[in-house]
Amino acid sequence: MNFNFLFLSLIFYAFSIAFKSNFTFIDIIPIFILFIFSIRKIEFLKFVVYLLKLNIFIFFLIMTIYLFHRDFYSIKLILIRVNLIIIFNLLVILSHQKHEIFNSLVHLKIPWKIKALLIFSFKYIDIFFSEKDKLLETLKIRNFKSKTNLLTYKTIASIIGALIHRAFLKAQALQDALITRNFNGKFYTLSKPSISLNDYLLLIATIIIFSYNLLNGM
Amino acid sequence: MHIADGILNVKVVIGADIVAAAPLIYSIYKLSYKELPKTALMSTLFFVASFIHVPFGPTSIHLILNGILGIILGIHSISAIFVALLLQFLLFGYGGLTTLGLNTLNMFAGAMVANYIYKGTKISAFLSGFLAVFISAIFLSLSLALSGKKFIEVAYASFFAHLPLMIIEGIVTMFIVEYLNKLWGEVK
Repeated sequence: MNFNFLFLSLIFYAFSIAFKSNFTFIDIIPIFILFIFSIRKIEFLKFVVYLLKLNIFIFFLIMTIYLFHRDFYSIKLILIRVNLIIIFNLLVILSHQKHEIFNSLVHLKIPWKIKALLIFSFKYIDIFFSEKDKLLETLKIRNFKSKTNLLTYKTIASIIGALIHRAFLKAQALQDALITRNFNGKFYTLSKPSISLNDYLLLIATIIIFSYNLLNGM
Repeated sequence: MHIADGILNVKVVIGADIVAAAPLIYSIYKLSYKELPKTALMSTLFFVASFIHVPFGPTSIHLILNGILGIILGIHSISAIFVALLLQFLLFGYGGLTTLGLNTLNMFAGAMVANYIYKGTKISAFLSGFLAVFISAIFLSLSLALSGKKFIEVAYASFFAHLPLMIIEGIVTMFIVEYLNKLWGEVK
């Protein structure tokens, strides 16, 4: 499925569900459609782990509401709202590889500066993760033990400082590359993400739900 | 510090999204070719920093680094924060789409205070890091508290949970600035 269409569907779906106070079976139709279309691409275990991880803060939140207010209606509402959006989002992001998301971002119809920021940031994530891992690995090799003391904080600060310095060097190299290639705000890729009937179907479903909820005052 | 979709009151979320839009649009409008790679890569660093864990007693906490982001980027820290939070949502599902503006505003408020506070001294660097998290925690607690009485306790808990991080961020920011001053001569 086309990631940009899914992202647009997600925006409509999130705004439809996030402020709703009563739910009907209609609200789960987009999830059902998406589930059917992306079931083969998703690892079930990974999906469950992500879902549980994203529910940690929610659990803390509902426990507080339960302990201090015994407000079961709010607890139910928060749980349904949050999890419907999380499930939709996880079905979107876990059914796509990183390179597919990157390729789709290039074709997003948004102002070029935001797109450039998104693309450059995205591109350098893995690079910085490996830089960070290398630096932390160096600490391990040198038998550094993390403790709650100033030396540890100073060491971590130096690692982050080194990362910032490298980021600036890479930014300078990137800027030189943009000038050399006469960058004019346009991005090109070899392949364009295809759009299928499924994408339109899901987008229409989320737009209908969004409009319906808007007309009924959420 | 990420608030997910579906928790907060519609007025708080939409209000914060609108308030966040103004400096974001201004920053994007003012962003030059020269500043674009720097902002993008600092955004990546902000993203990666949230995976660096710092020991605190028997547990560990992850850094936010909006203070150092504010010192280095100034107004453009909002663009960097916005992009980093959007990518965190797109890659890991952290935070939310409806609350993206609100989460950005919470972090950006702290970053701008840090930018204003930093005057080149060690103590101002510590205060920048400390106050950046302090202000962000206040904004986070306010977002929760304004969403209804049922969130008051969570708002207090969220604020006090950030207290150790404020001190650690202050110390770490001070050392980062010291490190970068040795390399660059002047951070800001």
